[in-house]
This record gives sequence, C-alpha cells and structure tokens, in this order.
Amino acid sequence: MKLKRTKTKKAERPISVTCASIEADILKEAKTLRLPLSAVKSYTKIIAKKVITNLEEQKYKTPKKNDLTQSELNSILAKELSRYNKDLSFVYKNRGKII
Amino acid sequence: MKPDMFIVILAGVIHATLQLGIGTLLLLYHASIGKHVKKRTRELATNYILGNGLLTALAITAMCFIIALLFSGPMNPAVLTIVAIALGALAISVWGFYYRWGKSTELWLPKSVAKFINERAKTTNSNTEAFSLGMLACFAEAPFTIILITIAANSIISLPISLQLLALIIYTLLSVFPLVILRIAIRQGQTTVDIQRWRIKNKNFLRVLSGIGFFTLALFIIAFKVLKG
Repeated sequence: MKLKRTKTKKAERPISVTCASIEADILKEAKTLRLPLSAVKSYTKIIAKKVITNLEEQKYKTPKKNDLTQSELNSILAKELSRYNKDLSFVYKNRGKII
Repeated sequence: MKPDMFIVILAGVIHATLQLGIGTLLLLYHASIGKHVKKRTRELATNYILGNGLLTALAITAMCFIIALLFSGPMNPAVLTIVAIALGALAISVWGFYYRWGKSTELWLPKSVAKFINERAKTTNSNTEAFSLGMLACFAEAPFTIILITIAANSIISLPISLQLLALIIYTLLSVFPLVILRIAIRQGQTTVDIQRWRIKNKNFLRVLSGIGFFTLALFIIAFKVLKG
C-alpha cells in the first residue's frame, strides 16, 4: 500500500505506534460510537498486530523507512477497519476533516 | 418596517447555513461522548450553544452602536451599495472556497486555526471551556458573518424601538437554530457519524443554499434600501 503525502509547509511529525496504542485508540472511538466493546476488542487486536507487523516489515511504502505520520496511520486503520465496521472506518477516514 | 424585519430574518437564516459552528459542536460531541456521562455531554453542548448565541447577540448590539455613532442612524444608500457588493463577493466566495475541495467538510480556515479548534474541542471538560469554545467558533466565522451582522444591525436600527429587541432575539435564535437541531438529533439517538455522513452528502446543497442566500440578500438590499431610498 503506497501512501501519498500531501505537500505542506510544515511537514507532519512521524509518531511512534505500538499495538497497545492502536488498540486503545480504536476502543476509544468505538466507545464514542456506542459500539459493543466486547465485539470490537476481538478485531482490534488483529488489526493492531497486522499494522505493527506490516510496519516492521516495511510493507507500507512511506517516503522514509519506519516513518509514519498520524494521517497515514488514520488512512491505514480506515482501510483495515472497513472490513469489520463501516462507522469506525468512517471515523478514521474523516479524522481532522470535520472543519 | 417590513423590509427591515425580512432583512433581519434572511440574514439570520444565511448565518444559520454556515458550517463552522455545527462542525465544532460535532467535534465537541465526538470528544465528549466517550469521556463523560450523557448529562455532562448535554451540559457542555448547552454551554457551547449559549456561548455562540451570546457572542452573536453582543456582536449585533455592538454593530448597532457603531452604525448609530458613525451615521447618526441607518446607513446611507452609498454605504449600503458597498455592503451589497460585499455580499455578492461573499456569495461567490462561499460557492468557490468556503469548503475545501475533496469529499469532506473541511472549511476554508487555515490549518493551524482548524487544528487549534480541534484540540480545544477535544480537551473541553468544563462548562466554561464549552462556553468559550462556542464564542471561539462564532468569532472564527467572522469573515463571513460580519457583513450579515452589519446588515442586520442596520435594519434593527431602522425598526421602531418596540421591535428592536425582538429583531435581535430573532436573529440570534435563527443563527443558533442548527446547533439546537443537532443537539436534539443526538439526543434522539443519532450518532456523530450519521450527522457527519449527512453533512458530506449534502455539502454541495448547503454550499449553493448559502451562496444563493447571500446573493438574494444583496439584491433585496439594492431593491428595497438603495433604489427605494
């Protein structure tokens, strides 16, 4: 999956991601959407593990190796979540795009 | 009297079609629902709406004072013509760049301002912060609302004294009406995702509606205030 970075005056800072941080983030969004957390937990672990594994194997073709920005992570999670829950996927796709 | 009251109502309706206040309230809801109990979220939303409404009312009142001070009454036709031209320019601006291009409801705001409002909405925990956020959202929309407020203030001054307060209240209520609708919709069970989906789906309609509103108001002022005056 090739990620397109938009040119901005101030480049977005890369962030460090872990399985736990991804899981916590997804569960927080699921709580906001009033989704049943027991169901969400089951696929959250799978997604978090997949993202970290792909990142370590450098499967995401980012311009710099092991360098992931928040918006790139949001688009990756939106794609992964689209298979499990459309609403959660929508939230990640539209993060920072409400106003 | 009738054209002036209609101008106030139309200006209020156009103000209601602008999206920054709604977007910020949606962000506040989204951030708050996961963090706080329902009652707390409702209190934050109420304070946000009050902050937004209060700043709008204060802005109109201040503008009434400024117009009365500068012109010793309502604005003269020459100034109203300039205001009508500005409304026409705003109509084109709304059609052109009020929304950023793409399948989202991102607005014309500089990224830094949008990010700041985003962060404030996420970290709002008290009623005071929610109230301030409402005022901030109202203030950030000023480039598009200042002309509407000026027009409404000019019309309010032209009304009989017995109707001026009523006109001010009508404008304020109309400007916060979408926020109240949003609050009711969420209370009824709609999620922030449903509402955001609706906004994206109807983005073009809202854009056209706003632009037509600005244009109509400009034509109305030229017809009933400039040419007739």
